[in-house]
Amino acid sequence: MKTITSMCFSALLGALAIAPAHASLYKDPGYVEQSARVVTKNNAVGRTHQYRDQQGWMYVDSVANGATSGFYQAGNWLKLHDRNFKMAIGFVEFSFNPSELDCTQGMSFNLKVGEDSVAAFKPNCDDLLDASVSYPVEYYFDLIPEPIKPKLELPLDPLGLLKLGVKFGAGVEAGADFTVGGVIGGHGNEAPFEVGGVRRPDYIYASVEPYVGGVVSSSAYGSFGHGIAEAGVKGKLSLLKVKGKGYVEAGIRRVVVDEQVREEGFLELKVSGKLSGGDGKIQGYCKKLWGLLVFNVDIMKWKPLYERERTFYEYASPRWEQL
Amino acid sequence: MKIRVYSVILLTVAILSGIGYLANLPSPSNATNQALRNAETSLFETQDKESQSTYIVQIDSSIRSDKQVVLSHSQLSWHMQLQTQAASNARLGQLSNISYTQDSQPVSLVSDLPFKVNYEQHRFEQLDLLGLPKEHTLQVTKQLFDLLSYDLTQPLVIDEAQRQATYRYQQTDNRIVRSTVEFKYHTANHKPEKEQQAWQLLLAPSGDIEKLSYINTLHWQQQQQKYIVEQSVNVVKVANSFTVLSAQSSDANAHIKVSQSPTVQREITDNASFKEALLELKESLSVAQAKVVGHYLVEHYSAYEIQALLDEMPHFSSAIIYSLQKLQTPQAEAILVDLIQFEQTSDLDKHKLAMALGRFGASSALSLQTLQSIAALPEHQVANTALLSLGTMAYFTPEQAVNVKNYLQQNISEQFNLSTTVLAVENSKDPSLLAKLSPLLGSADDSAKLNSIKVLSKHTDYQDQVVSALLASPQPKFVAAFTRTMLETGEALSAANKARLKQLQSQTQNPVVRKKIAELLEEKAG
Repeated sequence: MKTITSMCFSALLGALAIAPAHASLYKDPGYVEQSARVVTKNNAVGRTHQYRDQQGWMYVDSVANGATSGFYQAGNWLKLHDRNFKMAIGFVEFSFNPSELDCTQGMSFNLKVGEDSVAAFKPNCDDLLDASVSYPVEYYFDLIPEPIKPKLELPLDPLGLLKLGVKFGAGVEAGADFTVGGVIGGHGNEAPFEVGGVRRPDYIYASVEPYVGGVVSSSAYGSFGHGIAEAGVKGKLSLLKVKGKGYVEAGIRRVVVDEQVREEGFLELKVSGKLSGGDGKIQGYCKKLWGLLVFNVDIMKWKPLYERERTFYEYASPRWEQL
Repeated sequence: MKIRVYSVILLTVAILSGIGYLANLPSPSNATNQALRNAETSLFETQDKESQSTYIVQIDSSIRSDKQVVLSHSQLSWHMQLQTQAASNARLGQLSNISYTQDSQPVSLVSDLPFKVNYEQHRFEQLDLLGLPKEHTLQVTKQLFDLLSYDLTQPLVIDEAQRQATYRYQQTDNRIVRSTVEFKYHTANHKPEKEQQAWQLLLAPSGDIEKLSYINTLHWQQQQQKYIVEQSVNVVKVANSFTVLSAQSSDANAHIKVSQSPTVQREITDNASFKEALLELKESLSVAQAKVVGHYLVEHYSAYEIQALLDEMPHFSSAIIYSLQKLQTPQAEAILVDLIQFEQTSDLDKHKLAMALGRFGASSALSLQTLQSIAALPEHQVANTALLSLGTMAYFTPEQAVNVKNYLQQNISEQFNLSTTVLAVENSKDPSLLAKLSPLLGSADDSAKLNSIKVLSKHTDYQDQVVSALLASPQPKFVAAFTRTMLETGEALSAANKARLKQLQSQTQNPVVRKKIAELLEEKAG
């Protein structure tokens, strides 16, 4: 698509000139990934899983009708004992209008962890004149504040005679790599957009790679049953390392056909992802009679996944299309 | 012949009286026979018998349901040697051939355990396990010696698993039995429904312990369930193997590892254990571990030195910054502030520091002003992160909420970095600040407008205003953001707003707007 010469294009355009109806480009696959990895757990524990999804759409229209916009998001949630906690969400609001000086106005990259926006980047059109900028960000987050940690009473023996109070927390490592770039020239843009005498990019590309990992931890908040000398929780459960990737591109150019300036556009949307890890075990234990009787019970556990990479959606305009 | 026997008897009695083993002589009718036996054996075995005894000890413990289903069972056994020390009550002791099974699985414990104990007037006291860790299974030795003790002159008070017990002892022939005087339970409400106990000590003619038999069955009721805890202890004297025991140091058992203990925070003593602690923090993300590391850092490093660590060990930079964040002391706050202001700190680390300062939880005016000064510089790479962290700070440190609120309000009225300010308002979770966002639904700044639509769509009170804004400016990105937020939060659309959106859908040519409204109405139908 990017290598087609302008002569070839004119020929194609000639063929298309017969039906010059207004057209826009729109691809909207919605959710391309929605998956949960469920934890193997004790019956006393409510549903517990690590959920992820990715979604996106891209739209290109003539500059008079708003030019380009789009969206890509990867989200991760942790369900612990039937309660949902947002782990991390990374997204791009894509916006590109070459007829404006501020050609990327409205474009932003954002990372949310839990209920908070933790980082936001707004690329500047001037930084993208045949160049690219990267914004990496990452950190550790104590996901669940003490007052809302899920709690339950867990039986330690098969008959449920000895019970232990357990509460769960989660530490999360979240981040995203954001990259945005602009390309000028080499694509048959016969009447490039210029604002204030400075050419605006022919197209903009953006890549968003949010990732998340972490650990479910637990602690005993009470011990029940008679004569328990010592009771508690041991071990930890490592969460899956999930990395999503959204790649978007959109461009608008102008070609001259029969002395008429015509706008053409293209878009690209690709969503892929990578998974690995997810390992560990949390156990409850209780000792009675000076440690002569010990109960151990599995609270939750799972085994690691080997690294997998998958493409969930891929579309690229085969050619510049008339808008 | 008779004279010689009598002489021997007198001599024996004299020896025995002199050593004072017996607090109570057997009844007169048996005295002669006993003394005879003692005399015959003692003359030839004085050394072995008086200085060392060997016993086999076996402790069985089980819990079962009232339907006799065994829930757990353990058996612990060992050989025990006790060796007298000249002219004192002290005994050197040793446990050997220690064997322990838990639910039929062998559990490895140490093979030998030296100890010391005093034996005075039939009571074992001041057991010294030579530094054995408190959580170790063999601490049960104390309970064993309580069971081997008796006192014929006054009741004994014994610490049992769930209670303090007082027993009175009586001797009949060579048997000692006991009766309960009183039980004091540790937790007054937790008493067994029923108890059966049998304790008996058999003495050898010498007065030494020959055999202990003890069995205790407790019936507990917990809600509708019943369970039975049973413990039996059997001690039998056996022939001596006679290996001489020598005195051990007072911490001879301190090195013994205790199995199954939950993870203990390792103390950081040097650079190597510091790196280990950082690795443990990276893998566990444990708040407790973070505090240990943070404490070590502030005690041993200046801010400049910590910045150098961030550069030297970039794979630990999140762990280092997180440990300072979780320490939550003014000293830690001051270091975080220094670090974010150093020119040499990398941009990635500055983002982390801004996030840490927002979530610190005990933020003072120092962090507030630092983040404000960074947010004020539009060219600063970390400006947006700092502004967002200010919003978060209002939530994590309620004492700063008013200051943050004033600051964000000022941003709004001065139209400074509106789009990020909108997100910071959402972070603060302050409802009065939320009200200030409505005018931004008509902002000329597309990002600010978009974020206001996203934030206010989550609140039913603002729905009418948001929909009006959409109708006034039905661009794909605004309608898509509204749809997405409504679907994620599950908020209901009012009938009036449904109608307005339906009308927009029929009037627009834009395929994105049409599709997004269709998605929204489909989900919210009925």
